[in-house]
Amino acid sequence: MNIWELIGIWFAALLTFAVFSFLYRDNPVYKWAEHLFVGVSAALGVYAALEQSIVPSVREALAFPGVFKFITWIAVFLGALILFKLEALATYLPNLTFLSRYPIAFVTGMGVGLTLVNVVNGYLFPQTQATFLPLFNIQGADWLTLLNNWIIVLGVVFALMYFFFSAQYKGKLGAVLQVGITFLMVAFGAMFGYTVMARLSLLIGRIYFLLHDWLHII
Amino acid sequence: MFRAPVWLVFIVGLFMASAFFIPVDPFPMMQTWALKWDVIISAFALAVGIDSLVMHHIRRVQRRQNVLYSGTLLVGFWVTIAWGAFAWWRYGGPFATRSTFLWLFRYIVVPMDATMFSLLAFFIASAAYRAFRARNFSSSLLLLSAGIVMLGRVPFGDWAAAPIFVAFALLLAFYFLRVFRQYEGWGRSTRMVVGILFLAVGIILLWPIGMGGQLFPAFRFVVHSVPHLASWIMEVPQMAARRGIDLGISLGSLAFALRVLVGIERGYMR
Amino acid sequence: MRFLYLLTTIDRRIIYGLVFLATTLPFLFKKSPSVQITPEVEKVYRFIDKLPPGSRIVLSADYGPSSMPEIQPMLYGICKHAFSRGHKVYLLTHWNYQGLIAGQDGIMSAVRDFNEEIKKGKHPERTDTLLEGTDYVSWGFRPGGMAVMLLLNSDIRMAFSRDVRGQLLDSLPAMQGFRNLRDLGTVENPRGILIGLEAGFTGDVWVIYGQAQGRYPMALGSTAVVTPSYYTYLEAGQIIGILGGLKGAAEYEQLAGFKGQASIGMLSQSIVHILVVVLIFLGNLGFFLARRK
Repeated sequence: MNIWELIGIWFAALLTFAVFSFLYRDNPVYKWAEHLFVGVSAALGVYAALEQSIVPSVREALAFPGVFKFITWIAVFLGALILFKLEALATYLPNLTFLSRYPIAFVTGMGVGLTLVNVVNGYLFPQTQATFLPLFNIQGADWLTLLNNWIIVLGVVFALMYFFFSAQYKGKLGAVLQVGITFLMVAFGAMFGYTVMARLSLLIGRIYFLLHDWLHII
Repeated sequence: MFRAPVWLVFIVGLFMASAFFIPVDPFPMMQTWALKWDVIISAFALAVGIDSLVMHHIRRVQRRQNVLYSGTLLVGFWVTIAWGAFAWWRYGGPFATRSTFLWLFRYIVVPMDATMFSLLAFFIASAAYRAFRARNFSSSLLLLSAGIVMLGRVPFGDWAAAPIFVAFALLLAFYFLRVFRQYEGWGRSTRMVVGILFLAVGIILLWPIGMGGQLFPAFRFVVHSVPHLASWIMEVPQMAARRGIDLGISLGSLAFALRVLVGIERGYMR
Repeated sequence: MRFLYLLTTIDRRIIYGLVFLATTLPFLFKKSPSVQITPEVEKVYRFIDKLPPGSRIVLSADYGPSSMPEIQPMLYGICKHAFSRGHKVYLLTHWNYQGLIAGQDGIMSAVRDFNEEIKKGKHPERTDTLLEGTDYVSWGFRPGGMAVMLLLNSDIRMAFSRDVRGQLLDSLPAMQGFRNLRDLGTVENPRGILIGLEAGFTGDVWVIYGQAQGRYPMALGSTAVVTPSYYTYLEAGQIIGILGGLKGAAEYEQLAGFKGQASIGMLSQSIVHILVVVLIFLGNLGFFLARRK
């Protein structure tokens, strides 16, 4: 390990404890570390946008032959129009801010058009088809599979009904909605369990860094 | 004022939606080039968000507000910009494998970002202790599902699950039999029956001898079942409810997309 | 009874301390317990294991530093497994640039460790070490989400014409004959797989926009927060398996035959889960005692 890696690990450990100090209470050390992080990560984002996206796009625009080069340059020009939304430019050229709406409109139109087709093709059809499950023992399925099929079909239908029928929990509809809530509560409990697992895993990762990379105890 | 962009949304959206149904040249090629344009334009959009953050802190420094913190942010920002420019010149790119620029990512961004999110572990444990209550049937079900999943998905969790379930069963038996307070409007006889059921569960789980002289058979059954029950919960009822939720969300997103396409929703223009 | 009541009003800082101890102390035992293998992880492992040698494993690193403890071990385990089976690994990012660096770091450490194993003779079928461009390629980062996925379905070079080092993809041996993601084959006739390593909802976007049109084999490795939502795709057959959270990473490591960072962390995960459930029990104990009054 070279000296810069060693300095880096100690600085990282210092920043880790600066953030952990927030658990006691909000303090200047934590705020300082937070602002340093925001500044550095913003600048890293600038380079990511530049070196990984804008520069390759311009380089490709130069490399494409004939009409394709022209087409790519139009895209680069459209993209550059978004920069009129930058605060620095908007302050000095407020009358040109409207130009940034065109590339945003293009991207929005793309998103909308792709959503309309792909959500139906990629989600609604396959998921609805997967819900059409055999509920009676026609194909020789065992009792557990049949029970699971019933639970899946009823669960999907009742959960959907709960969201679509904003009615009071009275009478027969109320009973159906209560069943929907039951399924939802089981789902939310499972999601909560997994969320706890995820958050604790993040802490485990930091403790591993402190004990393994910093202190070399494990 | 908005007319031309709204028409652009409509034309582009309609084209992208219909190109899927027209696999005849030149539509596939036009669709591919439209996607390419999308990628290029999205690259420039990244810059806009960063600019407003930096300008906000420059203004705070100019107004002498929180100079230490805003100054730290600006110093961190410009040092990183300078270091990145140097790395681009020296190594051919700031993110090249040999680049020293990655030191900033590995030893500032990673520890800070990871540690900030790891604080949530403490908060979620504290929140679970303070707020997670079995007040009614729905919340009890949520608690049971969460407990089974949390204990069933980790090694040794199944061994811890059995005594915890015994403790909960006895606690609930005590509550229903001794407290006699309102529980979702259930009558006294209902509460008695439920209390006796929970007591029976606790006693059975602690019963020491089973058939064939096996020790603590019910206890061991729970230990064996909890991981399978956790898997079943994830694959069947949770999946079903989740599918119902997501079907509703996807129908809602379709409706929203249609509204944006025909120009009823224009929030993206602001 | 007073003692029981005191147990239910513990100060939050004591809870933070208990959580910290429950996470830290198990590490000192240096034990990696065996984990129960779930079918959804085993399906991914067996699928990669049964692919013909030289198949293509495309990894989409859509995560950042906040998800690295869970996902980085998955990426490392998949890369080691893929290299041991003679497969080629391709890395791309389109959600956040941080995934590019994290993904590259993960691949480089797997490459480094695998090359060490080759030198020690642990892989007699290989004599030469792993080379970038021949055994693995990093395509880089492109923003655009669904647009990138759809472009990859028609022509990879329209989204990434060069790799992250700036070399033309056409000049790399690993990219010969690999025009688009449909070259990964189908589930019935696979020639590769795409594995999305997800921290957010990009996994849904991959399945809905990428896999639904391309029909290639796909699996998802995700943080535990978003894992529950992917079971709907698993049941519908749109993905072949899920690696969920640190446990999923530990299961994969166990199947691949080594103990990595995920396996080491599982003892802490168990103890702290038990602590959280006990804390919930104590909280409810206080709730019931208070209602009794």
